[in-house]
Amino acid sequence: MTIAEIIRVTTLFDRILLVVLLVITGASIVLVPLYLPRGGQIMIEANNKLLYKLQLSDDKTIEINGLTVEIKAGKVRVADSDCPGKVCVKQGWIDSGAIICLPNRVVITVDGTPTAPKGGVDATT
Amino acid sequence: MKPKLLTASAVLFVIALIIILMFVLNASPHIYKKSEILMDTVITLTVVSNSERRADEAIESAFNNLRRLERLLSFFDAGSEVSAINKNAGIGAVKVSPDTFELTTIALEKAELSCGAFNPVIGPAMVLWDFKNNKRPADSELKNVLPLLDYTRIVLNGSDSSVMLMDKGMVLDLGGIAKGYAADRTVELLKRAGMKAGIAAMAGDIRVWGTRPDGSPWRVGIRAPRGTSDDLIGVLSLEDLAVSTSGDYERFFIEGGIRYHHLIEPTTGYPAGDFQSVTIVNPEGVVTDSLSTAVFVMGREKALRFIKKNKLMAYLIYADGTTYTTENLRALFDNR
Repeated sequence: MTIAEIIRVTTLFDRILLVVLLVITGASIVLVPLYLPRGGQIMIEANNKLLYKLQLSDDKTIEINGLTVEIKAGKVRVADSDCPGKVCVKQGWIDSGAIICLPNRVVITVDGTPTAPKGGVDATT
Repeated sequence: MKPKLLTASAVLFVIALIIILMFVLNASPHIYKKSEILMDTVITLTVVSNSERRADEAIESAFNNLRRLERLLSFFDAGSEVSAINKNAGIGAVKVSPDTFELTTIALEKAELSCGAFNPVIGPAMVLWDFKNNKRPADSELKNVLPLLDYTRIVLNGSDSSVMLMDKGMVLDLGGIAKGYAADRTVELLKRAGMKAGIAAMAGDIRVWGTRPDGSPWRVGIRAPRGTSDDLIGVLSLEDLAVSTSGDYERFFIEGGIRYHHLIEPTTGYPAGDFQSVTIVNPEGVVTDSLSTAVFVMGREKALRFIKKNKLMAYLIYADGTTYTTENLRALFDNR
């Protein structure tokens, strides 16, 4: 079916409907990413410099500032660290939120729909 | 074109536009969060916004301002204004930026209010305590530096915005109030950027504004002093308030069964012993940050009088593990 044929067999109403649908589709493509949070992106920063931007779906292991960061099956963790407290290792696997190693100055953030806050609180003093 | 068709198409088009507009305007507010390591701690900014782009921009400009404050106020950065004041102790006055002058003025006010329990020139005693290598100073070393801990020897000159430490060897360290100040400035900045609600958390110095997206207050947990960093002893429900906790578990070592921690009593140079932790709630971060330390080092009797006199909201955990919540805080406090 050529475009000329399509124009011939469709009614005016069909064409208007098509235009309206195209407007909605086009607007959605532009607006939805702007207004909905992205998901599944991992950002690894050391000394406040962004060094890695990865997807949760990329299974891999990265060595950075004394930390071994492991991404597997849609989750991320610090598998090992040379820092004294190892708070980052104890935190285990996450799929949203952040893991922070203060001694090694590394921040791992997972950009996603935030799940319920940890321990039911938004911050700790 | 037939009039009927024209009308129908116009109606359809308008409906489509309305659907798109509703989607844009009613995009439900989300929580956006970012953490950075600044001021020797982890800073987490949380905002509630309809737009990820606007949230990201606001958070980025807030972090830029925090980096600027860090460069002015850092005790460890040899190029900071605080370091310039310290290098010129006993020599001369140093002209400083409005932020440094304002914060030094507030620090001095809080020192006067608390009769020196909050002390921005405690540095010379502080450096003698080595919490990394678990070493405590000799009594004589501490005694020698006590004369340098006199906050009345800080001279502020408003006419040329200068600060001077009168005696050689004095050390200004705004670390006990800078995070509360940073939280205050950050909330101001994020509000101006159109963020209706959020949290500025400079580690344990936290200021919140507005509410969570569902309209409920923000929930701030209070750490259990003898538990792990995840164990909470209580939860505060806060709107438009700041909170800080000073605890003996932050930097410490134990020797001969005695816990030596970083909350030093300025008249002796030794850690204060009456509390495990002190939590203060107030509209201003500069108040909670400085006075949580002040109340901690005052000791039990003085602390209770001070809290009453200044109508502070406080949650106290005594050295024996018993607790006290001031009446004006009870409605906001939940036990765990």
